[in-house]
Amino acid sequence: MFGMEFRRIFNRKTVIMLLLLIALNVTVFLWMYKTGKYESQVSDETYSQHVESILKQGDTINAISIFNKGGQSEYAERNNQKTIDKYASIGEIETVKINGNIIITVIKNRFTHLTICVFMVIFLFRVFQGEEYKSMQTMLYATRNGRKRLAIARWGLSCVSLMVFIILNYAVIFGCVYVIDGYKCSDLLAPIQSVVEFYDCAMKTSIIGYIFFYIAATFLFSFSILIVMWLCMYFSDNRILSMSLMISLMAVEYLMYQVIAEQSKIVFLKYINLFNLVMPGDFLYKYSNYELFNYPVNKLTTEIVLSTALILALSTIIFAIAENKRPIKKSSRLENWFGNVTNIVVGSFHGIIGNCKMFGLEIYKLLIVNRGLVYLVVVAVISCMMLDTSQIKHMGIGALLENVYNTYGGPISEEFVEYYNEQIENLNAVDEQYELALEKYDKGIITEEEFDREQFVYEGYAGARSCVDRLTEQYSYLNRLKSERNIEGYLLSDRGYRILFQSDHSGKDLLVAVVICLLFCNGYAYDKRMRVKELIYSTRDGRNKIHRTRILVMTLLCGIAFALVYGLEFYEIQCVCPMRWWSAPVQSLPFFEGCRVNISLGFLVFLFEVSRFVMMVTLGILVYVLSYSRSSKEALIIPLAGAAIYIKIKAIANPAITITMSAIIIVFTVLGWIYVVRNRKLESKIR
Amino acid sequence: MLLEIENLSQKYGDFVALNSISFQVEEGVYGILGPNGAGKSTFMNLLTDNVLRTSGSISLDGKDILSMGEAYRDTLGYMPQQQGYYEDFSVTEFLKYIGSLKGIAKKELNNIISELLTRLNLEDVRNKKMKKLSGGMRQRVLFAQALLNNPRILVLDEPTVGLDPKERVNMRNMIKEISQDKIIFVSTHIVSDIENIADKIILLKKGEIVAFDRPDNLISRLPIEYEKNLESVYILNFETCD
Repeated sequence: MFGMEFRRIFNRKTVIMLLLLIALNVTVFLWMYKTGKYESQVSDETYSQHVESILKQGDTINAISIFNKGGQSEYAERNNQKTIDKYASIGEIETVKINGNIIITVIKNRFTHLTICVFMVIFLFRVFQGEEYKSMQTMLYATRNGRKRLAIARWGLSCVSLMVFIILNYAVIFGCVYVIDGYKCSDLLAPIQSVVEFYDCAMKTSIIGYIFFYIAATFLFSFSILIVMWLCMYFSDNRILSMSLMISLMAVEYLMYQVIAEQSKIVFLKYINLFNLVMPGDFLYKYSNYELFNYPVNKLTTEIVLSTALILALSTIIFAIAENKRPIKKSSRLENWFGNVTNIVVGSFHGIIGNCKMFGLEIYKLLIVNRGLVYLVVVAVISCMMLDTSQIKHMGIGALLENVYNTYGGPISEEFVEYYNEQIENLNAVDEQYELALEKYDKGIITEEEFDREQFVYEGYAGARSCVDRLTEQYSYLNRLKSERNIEGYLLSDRGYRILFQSDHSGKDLLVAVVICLLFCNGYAYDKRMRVKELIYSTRDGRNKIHRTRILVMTLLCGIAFALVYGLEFYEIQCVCPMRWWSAPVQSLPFFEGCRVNISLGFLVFLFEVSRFVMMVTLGILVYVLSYSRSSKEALIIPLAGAAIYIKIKAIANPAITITMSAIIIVFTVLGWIYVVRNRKLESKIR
Repeated sequence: MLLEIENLSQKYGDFVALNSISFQVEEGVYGILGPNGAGKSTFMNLLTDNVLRTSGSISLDGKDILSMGEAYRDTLGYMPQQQGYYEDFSVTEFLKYIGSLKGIAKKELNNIISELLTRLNLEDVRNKKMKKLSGGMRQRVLFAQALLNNPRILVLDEPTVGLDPKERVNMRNMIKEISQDKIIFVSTHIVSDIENIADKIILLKKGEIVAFDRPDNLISRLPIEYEKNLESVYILNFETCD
């Protein structure tokens, strides 16, 4: 029964979908990894010093609280004592110097938890697929093993498959980090506290031990959520109602998680909370307690107990329901009410769709019928998760330069030249003073202490010197530009432009390619599959107009995908390190020195974004053209493989090759589309 | 084998689907006739324990079927009125799946499936996906799944819907053939399907039994102006219904 159930749930389509999900997770992970967000920090404080300071702090708090016994402070005292005891018991760990990236990836990669949630939803839908019809349920319920035993088999299968999925996800991620960072296996045996981020982890374990613990905890938490979702599925045969219940439940939990403050009397609702199981917080690697009736309770222990209790209790309820539930029953009032509301909503929706013209209906077909909306939502979620709009806080030379760009940015002005000369003079004065001091020190005129003071002042100007060096470089470049090519370059910060034009955008390009291929691979193949191709061709507008309409629809959907990926990227750059001086000639940026065309930076940015958009639409048309003569699978795979090769070449080739290659692709795609529109062979075949 | 139904009632809110029906049956074929809403499907669902009864009892050889649980369902074969199936399964996989739920050993199950597929002319489509079968073929697969565990009680809800005349005759013959040691309930709208094979006919009207007798007895009691067949019995009893 277990095997047959496995075969039923994990059909080829589901397996491919899950593998794609893992691939997506790894792609997002690698993307984030490249940005350096998963790098372990470096601390001046050693682990033993850290523990010592916590214990000292604890003692100080204890000393103060002697004067404040009872009431509110009771919890504080107990918490303090519990923390002291905990750290005292693990304080003697001997840490080693290692690269902590492998474990940082585990705790910081939140997307994996989202992937696991998606897996659970897919799994549950597959489990109950086909049983939304009473007839299938009644048939199963009339068999010997079709009730509790079937539920137990499914429970076991969900347990095993969830575990396998989690392990697979982390194994692939660890594999990637291992390949990129080249770990020594001995690093994995080092105590977990060897990594700075785990200084507050109150577990006596090695890195590999912690990885196993983390996977086990993730499984435990996820499985409890799966069981909750399962119970929601039992709530009603109406899948939408079941999912609404689940979403409402999670929304309430999320609200409590967000709103309740740490000092609140009902803080336990923040931690005895399902949301912690969906997206585990830092309690997994930082020792911390919360207040429950004046007693400190460990957060991690709470989540483990909560998930275990949920699994045991809800599983028992599920088995009991499976045995005693009957497929045929009178609908509850809620189900009737929900059914009526659904009918009204669906009726209105179809009323609107019914009034749509060809354009609207094609959008409906791609977004709703062929699930394009789901792909766009996934892209939106990924893009939003990647989005980091916090402005870079410049330090040292960066801050000095930013200040100069903000004050004197633009065409070279007299004020800037004045400022620049002033800085040079200042630095020269400092240099002279230092050299004089050195001379005096050599001759024994000043003491070592006096010389150190002079040296300290001299070194204090190191940042200003670097800043001036950078400005000198830029100033002389702009002067050369003026004298040699008569181009009046601007003094500006190139950080944002560098990110836009010089960073590797392969990850985003690939994401866009995937979503376009998924969106449009059914464009024509769907007509063939549903056997309506002939019907469409027999109508007045079914030959030329429909193709034009579909290209328009594609352009619109490409626009949405563009906004979701590249639009958000642009917004992020403008937030983090804004691109200013759009009217400046492109040659203002040293990496565009060789550019022979005199255009402004703003226009170049515009051209860059437009070329991206044109390539997106081209890919869309290519997929559409292929779906005309091939199946939807081929229309998905062939352009995707082509796009991947194109992206790879683009990343390593120079702009001239990229532009030529893009032009050839565009020409061939347009020819292909004309072939589709003008083709008469198909008509003769139909006849 | 004796199946006793005593004062069996089923209500859905204020609606009475079955109103205290009682009868006893032994091995044989029992045709259930009645218009829409007569309570046929409710009775079938009660027999297969797919709905919790409001009152009364159903017992097999003196034991209530609810207390028998798995032991009762082990004796049961059920073919629902609507076609329920898993789209992605092939015919063989679907039968193996249901067979595993019925607790049949793997080796034995393979033999049974081969035999049934041959018997129901489904050999050629054994590896075809369920969603790709015609309505009639699917109906035969569903009939096959009901027979997998050689049930002692077979409940067939509209089994001949969507079948061509030849297949209908084939299925009718098969039902008659296997009825020697079984209690078979056949609910149908097509009166001619059960006229020749049913040992007794149960006429249901608004949740109550209006007649429970052999077909020839029912026909013989028809008024003179009616043609002497089961269809006339149906028309006579239900002309004011539907």
